[in-house]
Amino acid sequence: MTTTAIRTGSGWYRYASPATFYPLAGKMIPWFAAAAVVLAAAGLYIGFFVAPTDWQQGESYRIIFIHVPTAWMAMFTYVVMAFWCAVSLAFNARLSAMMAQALAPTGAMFAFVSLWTGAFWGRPTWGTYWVWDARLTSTLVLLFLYLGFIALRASIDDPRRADRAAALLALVGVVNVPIIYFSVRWWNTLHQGSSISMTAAPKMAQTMLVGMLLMSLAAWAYTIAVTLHRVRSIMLEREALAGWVGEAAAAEGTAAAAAGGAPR
Amino acid sequence: MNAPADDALGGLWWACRRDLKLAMRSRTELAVIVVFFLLVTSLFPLAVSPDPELLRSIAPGIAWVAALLASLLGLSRLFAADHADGTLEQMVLAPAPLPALVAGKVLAHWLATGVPLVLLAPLAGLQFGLAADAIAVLAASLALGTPILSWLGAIAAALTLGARGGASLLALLVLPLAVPVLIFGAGAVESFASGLGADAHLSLLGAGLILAWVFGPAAAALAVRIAHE
Amino acid sequence: MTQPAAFEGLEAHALACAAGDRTLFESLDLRVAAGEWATLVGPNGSGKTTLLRAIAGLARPLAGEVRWRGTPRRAGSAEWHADCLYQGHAAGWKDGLTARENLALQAALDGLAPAARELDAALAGVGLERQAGLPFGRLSAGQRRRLSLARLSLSRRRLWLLDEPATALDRAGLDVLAALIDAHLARDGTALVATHQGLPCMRPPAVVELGRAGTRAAS
Repeated sequence: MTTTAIRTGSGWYRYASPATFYPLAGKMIPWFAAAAVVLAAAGLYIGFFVAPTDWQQGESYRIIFIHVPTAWMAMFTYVVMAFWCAVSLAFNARLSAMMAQALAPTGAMFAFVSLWTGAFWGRPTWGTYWVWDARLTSTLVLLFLYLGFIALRASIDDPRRADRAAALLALVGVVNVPIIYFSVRWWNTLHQGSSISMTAAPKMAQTMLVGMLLMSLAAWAYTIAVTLHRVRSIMLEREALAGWVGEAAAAEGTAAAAAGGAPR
Repeated sequence: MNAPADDALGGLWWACRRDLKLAMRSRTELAVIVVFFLLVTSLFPLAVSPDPELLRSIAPGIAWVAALLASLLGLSRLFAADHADGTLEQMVLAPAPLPALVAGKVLAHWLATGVPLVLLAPLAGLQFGLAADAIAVLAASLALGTPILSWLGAIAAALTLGARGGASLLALLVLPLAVPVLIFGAGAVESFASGLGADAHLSLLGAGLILAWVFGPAAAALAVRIAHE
Repeated sequence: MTQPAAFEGLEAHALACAAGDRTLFESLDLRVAAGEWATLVGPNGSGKTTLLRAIAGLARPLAGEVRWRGTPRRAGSAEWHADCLYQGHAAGWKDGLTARENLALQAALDGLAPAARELDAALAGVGLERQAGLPFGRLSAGQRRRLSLARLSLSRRRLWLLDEPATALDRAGLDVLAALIDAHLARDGTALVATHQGLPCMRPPAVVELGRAGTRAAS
C-alpha cells in the first residue's frame, strides 16, 4: 500500500490541499456573505410586506418564510455533509472531512430554527406550540442526527479517526433519512385525527413562492459563507504544525492590518 | 473441536459460537436485560394510569420502547470487551473476512438478547390486556425488528469504541436511526388491532431486515477497522 | 528475460507514521530477509508499537510502502492475514474462557484445526498443562503471556510481528520464546520483534532503532 503526501497538482486538484484552499476560501467568503444579506433582505421584504395577508391565518403565517427554507436547508445541508463524508472516506481526503465538520453546526442550527419557527407558527394558528406533523417530526429526528454527528466527532480524540468514524455515521444517517421521512409520513397520515398539518400551508400565491425561494437562496449563500469561514478556522487548528499555516496567517494578517481589521 | 475459520461462513460460525459461549458464562448480564424490559413496561401503568382501555391502546408502543431501551443496554458490550482485551484486534487481522466475523457476533447478540425479548412479548402483552392475536403480531414485529436494532446498534457500538461518552453517546446515535423500526413495529400491532391488518408493516420490517443484513456487515466491519486506526 | 528474484522477506520504504498530531518517524526503511529477524528498540513512545501496527495493516501510515516477498502488501487482504501473525500489547485472550478454550479458538481463527493432542502438547510445551482448565482470568501475568507463546508454537505463518513478547516472562519463558523464534527462522520465517530485553536466540537479530529525534537505522 502506498500513501503519498498530498501534492499540489494542477487544475481543481490544487484546491484539495488545505494550503491552497485556505486563501481561496478567504476570498469567497465576502461574496457569499453579501449575497446572503441581499437575498435575505429581498426575501424578508417580500415575505413580510409584499405577500398578501392570508385570509385564513392572518399575519402569523408569514413565519413560514423562515420555517420552510430553514427546514429545506437542514435537509440539504445534511446531504451535502454526507457527500463530503463519502469523498473523505473514498479518497482519504482531509479537507473534505473538514468541510463536513464545518457544515454540521450550521445544519443543526437550521433544523433548530425550523423547529422554533414551527412552534411560533403553531401557537397563534392552532393554539399549540408543537404539532406532531411529518415535517416537524422528521426535522426533529434530523436535528438528533446532527447532534449525534457532532457528539461523535467531539468524543474521539484522534482527529483523523474522528473524521472517519463520523463520516461513516453520516453515510449511515443519509441512507436512513429518506426511510425516516417516509416512516414518519406514514405514521402521521395513519394517525390523522385532526387536520392540523404544517405541510398544508396556505395556497401559495406567486409572490409567496418567490419570497420562499429568495429566502432559501439566502440561507444557501449564508451556509456557504459561514461554512467557509468555519472550515478556515478548523484548518488553522488542525494543521497548526504544518508550515503553510504561519505563512498564510501572516500574509492575511498584513493585508488585513493594512485594511484595519484583525487577522484571524 | 473448533472448525477452522478460514472463509466467510466458517468465520460467521466461529464468532457466533464463541460469543454464545461467552454469553452463557455471564447469564446474569442477560437476565438483567430481560428484567429491565419488564421493569420498564411495568413503569408505564404506574406513571400513566391503570385504565385498561388506555393501556391496551398504548401497549404496542410501550412494549416497543421498552424493547428498544433494553437492546441499548446490551449493545455497549458487543465490541467493548473484545476491544479491551485485544481479541477484536485479532479478528481484524484474521484471514476470515471481518464482515463475516462481525455478523457472527451480531447474530449471537441477537440470539442472546433479542430472542428473549421476543419470547417475553406475550408477558408484556398480558400485562396490558392485549388480545392473543395482537400479542402474536407484537411478537412477530419484535422478531423482525430486534435484529435490525442489533445491526444499527452494532454499527454505532463499533463507531463509539474508544470514544468518550460511552452508553449515552451510543443511545444518541442509535435512537434516531431506530425511529422507522419503532414506527413500523408498534404500528403493526396498532394497525392489526384497528382491523387494517399488519401485513404492510411487517413486510416493511422484513425489507428493513434484509437491508440490515446486506449492508450491516460491511458498515460495521468498516467501523471496527476505523476504531483500530 | 528473467525477472530479478523477488526479495523474500519484509521491506518498508520511506515509511512515516504519526500518533495524533505528533509525527513519530519519517523516511523509515527496513529490510528483513526470510530466515532472519530484527528487533525494534527505542525509548518508550518512540513509535515501536505504531510501526508494528502500521506494517500489520491496523494503522494507516502517513506515507511509504510496505512490501512482503517482493510485492506491495495489501492491508486487510486474506492472503496478508494468512501470512502475518501479529501479537500486540493486549494479550488477545478472553478472561471468561479457559486457557485451553482460548488456544483452541485462536487456533481456529488462525485457520488451523489442531487435534486435542496438539493443543495439549502446545500447552505442555509452554508449561501450562496444569493451568489448561483454569479460567484465564485467574492466571498470573507470566502464565497469560505463555499462552501467547503456545499460539506461536502452533503457528506456521511466515511473518511474525511481536510487540513486547517478553513482558512478564521469567528465565524459562524467555528460553521458550527464543527457541520458538529460532525454530521459526529455521523454517525460513521472518520476524520483527519490539523488545526491551535481549532474547537468547541462536541467530543474532538486526537492530532497528527508533529514537526521539524520529529517525531510524536500516537493518
